[in-house]
Amino acid sequence: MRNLLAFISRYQFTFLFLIFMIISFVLIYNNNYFQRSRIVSTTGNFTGRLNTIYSNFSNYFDLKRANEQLAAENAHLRAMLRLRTRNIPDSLIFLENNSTLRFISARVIGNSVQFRNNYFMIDKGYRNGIHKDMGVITSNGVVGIIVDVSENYASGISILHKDSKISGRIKKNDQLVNISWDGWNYRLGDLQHIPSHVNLVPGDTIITSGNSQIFPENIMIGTVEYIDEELENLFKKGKIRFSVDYNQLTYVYVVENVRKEELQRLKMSMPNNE
Amino acid sequence: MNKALFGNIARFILLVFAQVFIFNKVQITGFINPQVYVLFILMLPYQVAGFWLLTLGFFTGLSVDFLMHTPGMHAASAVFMAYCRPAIIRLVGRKDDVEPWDYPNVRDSGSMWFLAYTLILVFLHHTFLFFLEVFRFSEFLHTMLKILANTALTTVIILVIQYLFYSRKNE
Repeated sequence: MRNLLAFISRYQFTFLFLIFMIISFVLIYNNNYFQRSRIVSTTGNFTGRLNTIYSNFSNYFDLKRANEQLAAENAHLRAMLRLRTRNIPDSLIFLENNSTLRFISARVIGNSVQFRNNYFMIDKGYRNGIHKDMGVITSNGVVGIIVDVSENYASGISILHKDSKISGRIKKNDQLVNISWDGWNYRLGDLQHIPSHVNLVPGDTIITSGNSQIFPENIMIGTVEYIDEELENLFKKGKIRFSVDYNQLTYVYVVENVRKEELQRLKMSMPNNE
Repeated sequence: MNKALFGNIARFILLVFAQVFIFNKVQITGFINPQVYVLFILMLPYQVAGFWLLTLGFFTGLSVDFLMHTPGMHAASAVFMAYCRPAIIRLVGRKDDVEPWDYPNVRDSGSMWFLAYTLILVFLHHTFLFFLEVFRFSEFLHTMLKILANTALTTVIILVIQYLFYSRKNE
């Protein structure tokens, strides 16, 4: 026993180091984004308030661009409205009126693009009806997924995260593709494992498939930048230029699919689902 | 002594906030992100007790973590760096004739000594941090590039801060 104590006191520096390391790794391990909610609900309000102060200040420099974006969106919506009132005798419109989608607008108060795993924070929380796993979009395209909610704030992972994978569709031929991010350039995403028979050329538009129930269908993700043929294994891969500049997020919409639970229950009851 | 203690506390607060609200907003091509808060650990007194070195290192990292919602990552890297510090001081050249509260800086330690000391420790910290962030070796080349670029930038920023605030006798 005395020898043990002597040993510990001799190497106390290393022992203390190991103890701190273990604490850190426990924190990291629990910081899987499934379990992050605990940390955000304890620190979310404090950091949320700090971030709000910071973004209140930095938003002034962004006002012009944000206004332009909102004006463009208004114009687009106005055009759609006119289109709709003109073609009332269309059975599809009734379907759309019972829309299963709800949009909640929010302001981005914290955001990063420079890490391997990037998060963003918005100024709406469960008080405003935000839940985990809701999709986040802007008028330009897909942003990310909510992973944590506290009372007044919520945080999410953007596509710029190693665990993010978004199911997309090539607009012109409805082929499904997966979009991920390799950590290099925050404007370019990865397209991988595309069967080589699929017709895909630079400039093609990729939109959301709607398969995941997180994002609605037909939301822009980006355009194909270039394609590499991989001859040996019959696949090709490429890069996609995101339509959203993640460095300039200001106002976003959180999407809620009202019938998501129903759809998921149906999916669970399918035989080959994990 | 109280003055030195106060200086360390002020440095801690300033550096952690500067890290979260200034240096984390610095982005060049999306993957450059200097970690200047490590300067706090670099500038702890030469003769700081091992217990305090590790504890302060841990809490510096933890503060950055909590403000950035990345619990554990910066804490682990900062503790690792604090653990390496005594060995690196021995490697670069031990300072024997120091007062209890003397701390490494450009003016007193000599610029070459301080550069070597900073460069090695920042490199160790960044290596640990960025590999922890990626958590796999498949992106080895990319991660190495990121480590080297950020080590260079962090060191330059630390030296600029040193020359701005500590090069003349202002205490």
